Amino acid sequence: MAASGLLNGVVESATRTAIVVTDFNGKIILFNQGAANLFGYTPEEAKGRHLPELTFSKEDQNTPLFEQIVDRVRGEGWAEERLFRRHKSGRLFPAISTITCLKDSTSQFKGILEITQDVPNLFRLEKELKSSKDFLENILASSIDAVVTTDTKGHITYVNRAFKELIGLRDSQIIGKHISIYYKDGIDQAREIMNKLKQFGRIREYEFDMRVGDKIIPIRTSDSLLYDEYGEIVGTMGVFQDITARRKLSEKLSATQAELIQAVKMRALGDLVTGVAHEINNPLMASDTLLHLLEGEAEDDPSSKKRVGLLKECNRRIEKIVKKLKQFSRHAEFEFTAMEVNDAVSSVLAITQQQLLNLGIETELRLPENLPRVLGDKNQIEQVLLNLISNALDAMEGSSQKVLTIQTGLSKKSQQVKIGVSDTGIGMTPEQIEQIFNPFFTTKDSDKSTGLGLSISYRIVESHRGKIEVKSKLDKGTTFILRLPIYLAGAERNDGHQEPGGNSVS
Amino acid sequence: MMVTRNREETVSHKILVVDDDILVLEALQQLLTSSGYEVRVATRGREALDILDQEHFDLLILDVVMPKMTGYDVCKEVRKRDDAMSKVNIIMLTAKTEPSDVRIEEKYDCNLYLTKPIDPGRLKELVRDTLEDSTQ
Repeated sequence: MAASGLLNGVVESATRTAIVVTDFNGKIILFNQGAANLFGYTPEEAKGRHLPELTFSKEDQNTPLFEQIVDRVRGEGWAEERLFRRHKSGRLFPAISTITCLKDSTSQFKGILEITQDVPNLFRLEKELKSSKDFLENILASSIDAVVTTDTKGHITYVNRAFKELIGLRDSQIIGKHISIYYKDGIDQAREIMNKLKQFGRIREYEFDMRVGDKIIPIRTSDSLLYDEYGEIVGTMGVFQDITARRKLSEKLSATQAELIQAVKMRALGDLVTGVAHEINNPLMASDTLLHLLEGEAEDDPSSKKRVGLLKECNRRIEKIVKKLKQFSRHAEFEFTAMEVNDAVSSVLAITQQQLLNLGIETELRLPENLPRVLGDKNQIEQVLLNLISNALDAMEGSSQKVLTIQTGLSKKSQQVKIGVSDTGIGMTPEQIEQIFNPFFTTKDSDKSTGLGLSISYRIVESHRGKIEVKSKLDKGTTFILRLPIYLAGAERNDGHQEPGGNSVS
Repeated sequence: MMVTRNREETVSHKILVVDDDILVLEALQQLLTSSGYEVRVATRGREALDILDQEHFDLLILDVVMPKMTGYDVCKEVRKRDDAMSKVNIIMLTAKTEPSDVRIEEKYDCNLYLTKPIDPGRLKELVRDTLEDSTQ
């Protein structure tokens, strides 16, 4: 028949494709030129031989592989195999085969047809692909940042090692979960992120709180959409960075910055105050001198004499303010020695004892023995304490219960000695607390206070490398806490003579 | 230029007051004049030195902080002179607080170093004492 002849021609001319027909037992019925080229046997040599015996690797021959293929082909109609096949020389080579059933005109199974192609590069390409995939996975796995991908619905499809470490769960427990379970604000946040992604394609450095169990982890994330080869969105990818440490650092930094600003502010004010004090002294002296002359002239005029007296009093007030201002910005030397804070407390109490008694104030002392000494100027520290006590007394003027508590002790890390001065007075508002160390800030009448006491105290404590803190509640009372670094033998301050008052910003 | 003579004293001491602050100058002049001294004033150090070339004084009162030539500069210039005026009494007056590591009086070779504001009664006493000491 013409058609059959044509078919034979096709089969024979396919020199690069092996076409083999066997019966169900594998006995070769047809073996074309292509098969001869591929396997190394002539059609004559091959015919009648057992196909697996001739072309399968030794390993595959020892398994029922051929029988399994035949079964599959009979059941499903076809099979595809990627196998190492054997050349007559014994050389193995990779090949892809398509195996189908041969039926006769009455649809009776006659045998099987195997069309095989040699694919010399396939396995190499596969190997390359795998190594490149391994490489990428390795990169992702080694990444310090957590990487997660989801499908378009938000179900997690991949997480790297860092993500697993962040979550503390195994792979199998994460894949398939919805990403929103890790967002503190849940599904709403997931939606918000997805909407942004759809709008912009990517999100850079977005910060959110991640929820892992009952722990909240601050995260900085950059997210982008994932596309397939047709440009369709197939999911999202997120890179998560745990910023707990960074956030803590930044908080600490802001606190330090605030302290620094306060210190710089106080110094700038100190400089200003020195200038002002100097400028005031000249006219004050002129005024004093002229008043002195007027006083002599008004000797016989009582009302003029009284007025001159009042003017002199005004000048004394001005002088007092200027003196305090100078003290605030003092360049004077501090004398640092190893000193006992309890001694300073006792000296100050000795001075104020009578006043405390007169005002009906109860004193509670908690002064533990054997506290380490601090490096300080005893006179200056006493001045600070005196100022704090004097403020406490004023604050308790109208209180029904008047208790002054002075407590000393060691700081938590034992690097500082603390002195607490508490009263049961009127307390302060947060706004007042904020301004309390500013020069001229006062809650008292101006004939009672220059508003410089606490700013001077602040400067003194600062030059001791200590700290002064305040806690206060309206109508409950106020507590000031001084913290002074403890004295370490051999660590005397040698800069004590330079400028402990610290008027220059160096 | 104001020269006043106290009629009650047979010998009147002459004082030159130097201060760039007119108010201080005026007040001091009135104070010292009322005590019977002959007072001349200058607002600049250079001006004071020129006056010293012309006249004899028993006491200089020098403000420390002045533009161009400070009280210290004037003091140094005066001590460098080779005439009798180099030994003149000098009281320095300052509105500035100085670190008191050295005695300023020794450092600048002046009789007194006083800080403004000083009580006028006290100043009169100090001026009198300084002049009495030097005449003894």
